[in-house]
Amino acid sequence: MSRIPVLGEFEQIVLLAVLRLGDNAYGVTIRTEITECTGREPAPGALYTTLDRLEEKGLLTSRFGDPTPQRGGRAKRYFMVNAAGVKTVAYSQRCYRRLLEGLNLPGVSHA
Amino acid sequence: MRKAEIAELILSLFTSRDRAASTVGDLEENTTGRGARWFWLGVFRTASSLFWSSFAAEPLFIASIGFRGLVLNLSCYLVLFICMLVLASVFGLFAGLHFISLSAANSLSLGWVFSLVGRIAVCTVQFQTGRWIARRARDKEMAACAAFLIVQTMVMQIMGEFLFGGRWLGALTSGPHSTAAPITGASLAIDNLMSLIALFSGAIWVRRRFVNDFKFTGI
Repeated sequence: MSRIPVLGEFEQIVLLAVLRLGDNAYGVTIRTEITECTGREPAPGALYTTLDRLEEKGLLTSRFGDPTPQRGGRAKRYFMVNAAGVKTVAYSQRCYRRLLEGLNLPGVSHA
Repeated sequence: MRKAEIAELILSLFTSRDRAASTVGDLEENTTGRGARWFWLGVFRTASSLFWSSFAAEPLFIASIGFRGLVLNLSCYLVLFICMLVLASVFGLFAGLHFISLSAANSLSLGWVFSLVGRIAVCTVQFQTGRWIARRARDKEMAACAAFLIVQTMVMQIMGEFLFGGRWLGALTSGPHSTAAPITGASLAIDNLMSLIALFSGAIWVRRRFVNDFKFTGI
């Protein structure tokens, strides 16, 4: 049975943000999504190194879109969570839910 | 936009050209309404994160390159030192045999020539060390050069303090200085800066496949 990689907190946040964005997940939108959902704006350096690390771990794939004049002819780098990434983040979330069972934290539902 | 090209050049030292371009595009898109200061802060924070992640991904590998680079570097300096010693002995012999006259003016000129030759030789050694390190660093050239500098500084400090009483440290790290050209703090700082530039230039020379396509317009 292959080992499921261990995810750090920020890695999980990034994966979930990419999943939520679907086909439109690139640096700017991922950053905005994380800011809106967590209330914290991630540093650009932290975000891009995490995206690279997740790709190296085989949990994300990236592709370059077409260059656009609004970005000075620079292409967007789109990210997608692959099957291994979905499996890994789902496993991490199940672990969190098991740890939450029996706890009554404010603002956290157990549905 | 010129600032974007410079930013791409900086980031391409730490990641591939395509990724550097894409990241700069993202930062430009985010800069709307935030100003150039935010853009450059983003560029340098991204560069420093990429630089640090190179270390963190394979610390032992990077450290080993730093150590091996230091061994090569010290060997080259030893050879250089022996050559300078031989050259000085030959000049001394010629002066002793009265083939050349060592007046005060001649001594001063010879001193400056030795000093200049020494500085050029040191920069050449550092440049070649940078190239050697970069060829083995597997896309982590800047981190490997920084590891080399850290290891070199530590070893030189130890050698200087405990073995040679500090006097030979300046000669080994900054290049031979003529006694006719007094060592000043500014002179040592300039020599160290030149060594640093030569080292990273050698590494960037190997990495130039990532930066070769840049065309600067009137920079």
